[in-house]
Amino acid sequence: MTLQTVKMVSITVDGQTVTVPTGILLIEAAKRLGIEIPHFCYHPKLSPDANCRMCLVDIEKVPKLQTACTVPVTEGMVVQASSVKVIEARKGVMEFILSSHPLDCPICDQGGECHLQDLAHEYSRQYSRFKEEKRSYEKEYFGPIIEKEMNRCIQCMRCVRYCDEVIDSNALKGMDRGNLTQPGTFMRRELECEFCGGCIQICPVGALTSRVAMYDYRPWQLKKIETICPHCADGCLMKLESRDEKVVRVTSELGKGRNDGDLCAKGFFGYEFINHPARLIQPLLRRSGELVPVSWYEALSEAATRLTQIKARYGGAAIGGIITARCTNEDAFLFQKFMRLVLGSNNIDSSARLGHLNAVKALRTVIGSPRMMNSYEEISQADLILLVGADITETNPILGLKVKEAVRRRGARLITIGPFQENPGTSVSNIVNRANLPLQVRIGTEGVVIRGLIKAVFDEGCYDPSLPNRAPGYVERLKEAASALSYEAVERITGLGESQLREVICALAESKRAVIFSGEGLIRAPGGYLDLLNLCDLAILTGKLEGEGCGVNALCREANEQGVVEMGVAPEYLPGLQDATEPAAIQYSVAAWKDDLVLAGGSTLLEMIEKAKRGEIKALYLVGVDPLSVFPDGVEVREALERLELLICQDLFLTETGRLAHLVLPACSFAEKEGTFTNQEGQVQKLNRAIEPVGESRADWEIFSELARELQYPLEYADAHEISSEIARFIPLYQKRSALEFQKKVQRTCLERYLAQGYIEHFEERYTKSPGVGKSDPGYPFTLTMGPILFHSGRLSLRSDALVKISPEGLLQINPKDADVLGLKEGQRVRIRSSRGIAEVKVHPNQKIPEKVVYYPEVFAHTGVKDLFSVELDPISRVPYFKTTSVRIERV
Amino acid sequence: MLSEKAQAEITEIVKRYPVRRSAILPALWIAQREFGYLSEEAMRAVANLLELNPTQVYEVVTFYTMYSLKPSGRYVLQVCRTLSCAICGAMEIISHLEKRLGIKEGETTPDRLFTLRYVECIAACGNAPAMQINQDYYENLTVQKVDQILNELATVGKSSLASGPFMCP
Amino acid sequence: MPVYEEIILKNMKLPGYKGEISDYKRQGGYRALSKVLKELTPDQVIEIVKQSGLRGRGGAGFPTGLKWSFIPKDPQVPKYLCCNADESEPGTFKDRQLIERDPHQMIEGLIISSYAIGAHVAYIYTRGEFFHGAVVLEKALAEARDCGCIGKNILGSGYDLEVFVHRGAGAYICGEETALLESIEGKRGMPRFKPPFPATHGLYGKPTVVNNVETLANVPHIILRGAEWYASIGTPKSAGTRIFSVSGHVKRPGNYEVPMGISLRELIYEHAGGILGDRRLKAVIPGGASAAFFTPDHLDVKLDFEEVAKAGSMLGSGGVTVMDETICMVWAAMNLLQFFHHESCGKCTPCREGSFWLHRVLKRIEEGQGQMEDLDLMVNLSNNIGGKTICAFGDAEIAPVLSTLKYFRGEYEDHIRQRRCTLRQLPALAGSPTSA
Ligand SMILES: Cc1cc2nc3c(=O)[nH]c(=O)nc-3n(C[C@H](O)[C@H](O)[C@H](O)COP(=O)(O)O)c2cc1C
Ligand code: SF4
Ligand code: FES
Repeated sequence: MTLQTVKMVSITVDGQTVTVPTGILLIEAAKRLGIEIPHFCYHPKLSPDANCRMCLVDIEKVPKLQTACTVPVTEGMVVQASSVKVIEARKGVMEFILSSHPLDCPICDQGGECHLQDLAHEYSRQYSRFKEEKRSYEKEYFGPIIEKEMNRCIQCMRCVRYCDEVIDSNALKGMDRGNLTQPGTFMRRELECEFCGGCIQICPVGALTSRVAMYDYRPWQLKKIETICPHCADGCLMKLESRDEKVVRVTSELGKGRNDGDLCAKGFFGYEFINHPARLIQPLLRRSGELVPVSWYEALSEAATRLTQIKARYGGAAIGGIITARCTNEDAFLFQKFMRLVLGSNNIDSSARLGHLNAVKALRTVIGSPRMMNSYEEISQADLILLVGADITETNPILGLKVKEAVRRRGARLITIGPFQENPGTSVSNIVNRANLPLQVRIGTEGVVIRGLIKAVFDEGCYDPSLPNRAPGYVERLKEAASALSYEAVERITGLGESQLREVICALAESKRAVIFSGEGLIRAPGGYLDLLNLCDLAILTGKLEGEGCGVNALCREANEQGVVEMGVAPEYLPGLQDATEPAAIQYSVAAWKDDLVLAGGSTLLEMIEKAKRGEIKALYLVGVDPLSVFPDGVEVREALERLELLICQDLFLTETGRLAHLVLPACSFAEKEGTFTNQEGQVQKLNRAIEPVGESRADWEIFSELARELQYPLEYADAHEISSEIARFIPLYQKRSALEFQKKVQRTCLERYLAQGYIEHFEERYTKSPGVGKSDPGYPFTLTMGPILFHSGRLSLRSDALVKISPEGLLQINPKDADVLGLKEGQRVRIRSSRGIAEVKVHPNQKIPEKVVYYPEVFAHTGVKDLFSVELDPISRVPYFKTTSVRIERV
Repeated sequence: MLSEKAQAEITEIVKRYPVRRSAILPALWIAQREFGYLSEEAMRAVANLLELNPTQVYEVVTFYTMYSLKPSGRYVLQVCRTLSCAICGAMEIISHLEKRLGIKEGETTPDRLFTLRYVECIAACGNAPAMQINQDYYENLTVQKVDQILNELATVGKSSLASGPFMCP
Repeated sequence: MPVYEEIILKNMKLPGYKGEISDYKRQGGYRALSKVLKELTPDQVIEIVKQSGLRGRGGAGFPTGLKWSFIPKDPQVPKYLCCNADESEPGTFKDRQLIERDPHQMIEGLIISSYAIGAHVAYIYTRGEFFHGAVVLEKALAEARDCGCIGKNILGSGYDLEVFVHRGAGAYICGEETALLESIEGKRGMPRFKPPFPATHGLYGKPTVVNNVETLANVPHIILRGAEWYASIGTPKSAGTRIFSVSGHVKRPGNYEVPMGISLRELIYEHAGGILGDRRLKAVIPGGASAAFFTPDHLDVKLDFEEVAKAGSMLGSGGVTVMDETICMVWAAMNLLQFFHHESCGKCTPCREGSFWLHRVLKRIEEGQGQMEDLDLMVNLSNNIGGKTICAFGDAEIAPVLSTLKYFRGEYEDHIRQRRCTLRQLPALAGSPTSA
């Protein structure tokens, strides 16, 4: 919201007068008077097309009827929106639309929520004057998950415009002409796109519908519950619509949620895991080698007995707990409380360790707040967006939409720094295609680029003038470091030359509202923590850290990565990210929990597994995590787990790890519980229960609470809200629900501390240490890298049939040139060989992938590709890295 | 694939416009000239050259009637059937053609020599009835003339009856 | 018969005139251009054209100078001129002749007009069928470029202009100015809603003027011989000459350039030599298929924008189609509705569905399957289309229906009563209406 004062005008519609901002569309102005002008093709998200002609109105002093969807209001405008003349005209339009619309409402899934049905009552005559044969289309198969019934199409082209203007996909386009015009695909093939479901949702009739739940329901039979999408950290608001305790579809509502009614494939089609037949419905206990169903009573008492024994014999430090970053804040909060108080262990961690902790630590060090610095609103209003190692449309599709909006609608400049190339003409977004300045760098060298950029800041002499007086030492040290670095070195390593680096800096300097993003390429790559600090330095130097509408942001993956860390699920942090080594912080908890706090242990994710392997950790409590499918063989997770005296797995499904467990506890999915997620932006958003728990499954927090009772250390809560309020009491931040309310901005004192001496820590590693050139082994000419793909989020998406239909298996993406050299065609099998092993996969040539690089979707890595990697532990943030490795590609 | 020459031509034409996409009609004409029709490859090639999604090319192709998605005969007879021609004998011409070639609208003769199409007014009304064969106009048609034209095209590959620069009367 | 001085058809009729730049220059070609570039400011050019009373020849008859004056003056913003050479209005074939016989005349007009509105790029949009026309234009443009009339620093004036031919691919609607712009932008030729108008938001969203070939062809002559001279031709409100393309049942079909305001009778019986075989005239379309039918009662209507409009039709594109007594009016209307149905772009509902519906009803009646209530239905449907569509195509497609129903209702009723066409001389229309 730019805060310019807009001129107001007053207009009169059907005798009522209203004052509205000048220039808004008449159809919107009328809404403010409660007058809904009928329409089909108009949609507030889309540029008007005025093709349906249903919104005709009579404007004084204008000869012809006008379309309310195209006319901007002007002072003194007088409008008839329901005069006889207008109604007659609309009836005429309606008659034309109905003349070629079939009467198949009884078998149309749109029935009951169809704009045409609704308006037909009001605007059509009782009988039809159309005696001719209706136009009819050849039936086209549109693919497994979207149904295309063009005879119902009213040719408003909303789907087409949405696909272009909002999603930027262009997979759906107008086809043919005249009264056989229709939305369609290249060569009338099956739809290939981002499958955001937007076309289905925006279609006012039943022309485009979901095949996932075809004929399963009538809209009015559905129970509709608003909740938050569990698939990623964008935190989209969605409605889960269920019938007989089964979720049958997902919808979203324009203007609602951080996503403003948009969803991605995962959100719209990724719900089938909820009622998946493989859901765990009973606790399982290992008896004589077999996992057998048992009662909760048995399961919990068994767990309690064994935990008590182990704690008694080896102490709390011999117990570890790992929880998924997909659980709610309430689950996470109770989990760490359970581990710390009940089991007396500080071996607690979450999947956020796999990268996000780098970002949290860095931002906490520099600005004192761990969250994204810019709201989604600020992002769409930025005038420059700098993406560093962030494949944003792939990893965070909805946030990606905000970036596209900034670029396409508001003309923001977009600079991308990363390994990926432009591939114009794709119908699955690649943000590089939208960049004004797409800077392709060698994979894994983003960090070095940042150092180069800092050098350029000094050479361009455009750093924040106030800075030298404010932090002379800081500026001096950086200047020194910068001059020590040579552009040649940077170019040799990254591929970016001096001029390009300078160009970026000039663009940054010119911009007012600059938003900087770091993504997978930085956060999950070796040295991620230090590189993020350097990125902050870059922002500080260029005055883009504190400036209005500016900021540094780190993208998250899982739905509640931000939350679990803030809940204190990490050995180094107590709730509210208080330093677990600070007496004051400990005192705070002690006071709050009225019990003293022995922080025994303190191992992180990977360390726990290694300790288990060494026999130092005897019991592991895994909640929603499946290390066996995540870590490369090299880590020897299996060996580690097999040495445990007790392995408890709490999950929706029986995972690979679960098969080794002594005890398996069935947990509820997000759809069955209440609580909150904190999205990457820092919005604390409420989950609501859409269906009853599946089988005997229970909410994670309930299980902790029950288990605590069994262990004679009651942690009693009536419901999730009670935990929420405790969280709010404990973490003042959580007294505010909306990120926009609290100052997620720079905490002055902290920044000053950083500028004074904070920066000195690790300065050597960050700057003066000469950047190592990635050694390329001729035996392994390709770099294999793993990362997310748009259509999957992990185990949940792999259990969602529709998403599996869209993306059934892991395809190794390879540059077409490389594919040609190797004589590889789409879908051909290849062997990937690294020094650590071999995996066999199919290839998918994609111009987006740079030469000599191959990209594999992480969700499918458990089938073998992960084992090609070796793991490197970050000495500071203790984040395990296994992002890239050198491989050879051989055709099979 | 598009020939080097064709690609060069298109890249030249792109320079005429501030927006690459604008070159799509000319590019499609060139592609159609190369292949005789717009095959999938042809459309993909155009899409690549103009940095468009193939669907953005296809939507255009399906809107304009002169682009053809399937191979047609060597000579495409486009007979005008709009009012002025229709009242001046186009219907006789049409039924004669259908009889002589043994095909109907949209069809191609087995020897793949002639494709028959009926089109709307081609701006030759003063010399009605008229038709366009590939790029040439043929006007003031009579059944006899039509026979001569078809014979000449079938034998020597061009007809002496093609119109020159237009002047009427 | 009265003879008038031809202005824009003159050169091409000279013996040996091949329309090459040498021919054109020999007749004083490009003198207007150098006069303009040497002596006149853009605003002066606009003023002269305003004074001349020149009105658009493409159909709407909008005052040309006035249209130009709407273009914002800001030199920073790029502006475009597009020559509408799409000539697709049934019954019209004048632009084709102007292009193929005397291309430089319209090109000179186009350069002058571009100068007047401050455009540095101009596109000539020809219909896809004009393959030869496009070749002729390309050649002419090359010639003009060679002698410095196009390109950088034209005739040493410092004014730059690039001109390109853009050939369509078969779509009548691309003659509509905003559809034409969409088509140049590389999209489906679908009209934009207006406002905003091309003068402010045209090609690539920039200020743009679209002018018809004949309109532009007049400009050089106006410059050389003055606004007063031009205004003195024709009628006060409809100045100058007009090319009428006469076709159908006349002895001498063709393009006739006459002063505006001569009577329809004179045009048909004098210039076009009267009805074929001296049969009786039954109906005339005075301004292309989009114009309402006239009957013999209208023979004395003066052919200028106002009079024709007053008589209930429009001068439109100047395409005059003459039908004698042998022609069935239901069939004629059906033929045109087939055209309109085939050419409707499909964007807006009333046109898309209406043209289909009307054509089907007409077909039924023509085949003897009609009912009396169909006649009122067609009137009612037409009124639901007229004035309710995005572009004027909607008003065009109903003109044949309403006018034939108005003047020849009896013929419709005969079809319905006798369940057949009483005077059809012609075999049924071949081809399915939607075959594309
Ligand atoms: C459906 C439709 C078709 C048209 N076709 C043509 C055409 O073929 N040639 C033309 O010059 N104008 C045509 N016009 C008129 C143009 O929209 C525009 O008014 C004209 O080109 C402006 O040029 P002028 O002012 O010189 O007449 C058409 C208009 C409509 C609504
Ligand atoms: S498919 Fe959807 S968008 Fe397209 S016309 Fe039909 S209703 Fe409108
Ligand atoms: S809503 Fe206005 S024309 Fe469709």
